[in-house]
Amino acid sequence: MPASSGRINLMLALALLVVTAAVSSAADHPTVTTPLPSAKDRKPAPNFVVTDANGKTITLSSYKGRVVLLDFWATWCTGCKVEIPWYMEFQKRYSRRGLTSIGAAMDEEGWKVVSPYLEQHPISYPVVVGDADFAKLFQIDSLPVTLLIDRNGRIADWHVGMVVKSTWEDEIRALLREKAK
Amino acid sequence: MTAAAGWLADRVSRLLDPDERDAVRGDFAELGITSAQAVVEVLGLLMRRQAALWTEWGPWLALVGVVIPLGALLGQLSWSWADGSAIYTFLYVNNWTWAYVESPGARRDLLDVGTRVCLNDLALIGWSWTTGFALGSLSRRTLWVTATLFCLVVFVVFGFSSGTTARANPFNAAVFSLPFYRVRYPWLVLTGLVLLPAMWGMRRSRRSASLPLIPTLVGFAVIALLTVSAARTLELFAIGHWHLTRLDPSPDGFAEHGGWFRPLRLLPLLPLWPVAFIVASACWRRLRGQPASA
Repeated sequence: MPASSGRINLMLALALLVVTAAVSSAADHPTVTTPLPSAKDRKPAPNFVVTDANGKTITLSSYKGRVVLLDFWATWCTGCKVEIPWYMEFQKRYSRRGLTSIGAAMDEEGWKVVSPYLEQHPISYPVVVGDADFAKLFQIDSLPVTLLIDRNGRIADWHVGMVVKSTWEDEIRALLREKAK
Repeated sequence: MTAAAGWLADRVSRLLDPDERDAVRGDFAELGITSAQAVVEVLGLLMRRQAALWTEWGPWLALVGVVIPLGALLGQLSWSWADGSAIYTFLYVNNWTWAYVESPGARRDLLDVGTRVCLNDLALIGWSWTTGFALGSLSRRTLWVTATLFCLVVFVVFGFSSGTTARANPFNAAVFSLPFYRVRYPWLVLTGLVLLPAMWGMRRSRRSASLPLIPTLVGFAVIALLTVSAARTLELFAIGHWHLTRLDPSPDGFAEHGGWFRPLRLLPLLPLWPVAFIVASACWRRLRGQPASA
């Protein structure tokens, strides 16, 4: 029917209006935020001794006095990989103030797949490979998992799944303001 | 009341062909019937006209071959596709860091993800346009009915898809805690990548039920390539990404359920059939020596 063309035009215009209205709405701030627990409510992080890509031994206890961002990731985990540049930025920005980022790759194949990945995707902080025991130590049963460990070696935040960069950065700043005992 | 009925009678009568509309309006004026009666009469006439049109095979093929399967597919895809790309948009836009371009590996990943999302979006636009065009070609005179049914199927399936997409994964809670990604983004995708292109396709089909052969063949090749590139994503998203991939209890992560969804490998053929129909129509016209408007 000829009137169909006019109606389609009208529907097109309405649809365009919906798109414009939706696009014009600004992105909101995430609501998945929980305040950091107070220092006395934090549990001590289990110590570990592992070797990084350069063969250097990494011990968590050796970072006492620094805030540690411990990121569990894997080469197959797309979301984890997108987060890594954030942690590189944090490392660059807050290293002098006492932040150390450590990446723990949880690939079953270990360095066999992690090394080639690191060659193509250089990471500016130490990367270690975690095995089943390491996963058990931190009760890792899914990825990504990111931990913030305060200057006294206690777990200040533990996040499973995607984190919000700005929230994470706020928490890092808050932890960096704390003093080591 | 009379004024409202008069307005309604006028609006309803516009659904008739112009010649018939004038004749009907003249008859009503001669008979001196009320506006309310006129509405009933016109509606009755419209229904009889529509019923007559549905005795042909075109509208039925449009309904069974396009409206139901492709409306359902595009409705499901638009929500799941939206949720899938919302995660990357959130990661890269809301959490932007210059490290994405400074680090060569991250730069490559960004390019890869950007390309993939763009290609998938283009594929969705292509499928929607060709679906709209095929719908318009098959049911030119019943388009307002088939188009309404198409939108209805899209909206119903779209509405039922929200629980089966990436948002059902608690790991993505940060993304979908934002009202923009939770509510507005899927509607944006539905409107911008499905409804608008489909209506554009329908509108184009009003000008000519067939397209020139060469551009049609080029378009077919492009959409076929886009379909191949999006085939895997299409399979996963079509019946709910989150239900197809589940977290393995070990840190090795996502493991796919095998076997039962193998027939879905044929799914990319579904959005390709309107394209095949358009090509066949163009070839048929060329063979019969009929011109097609550009």
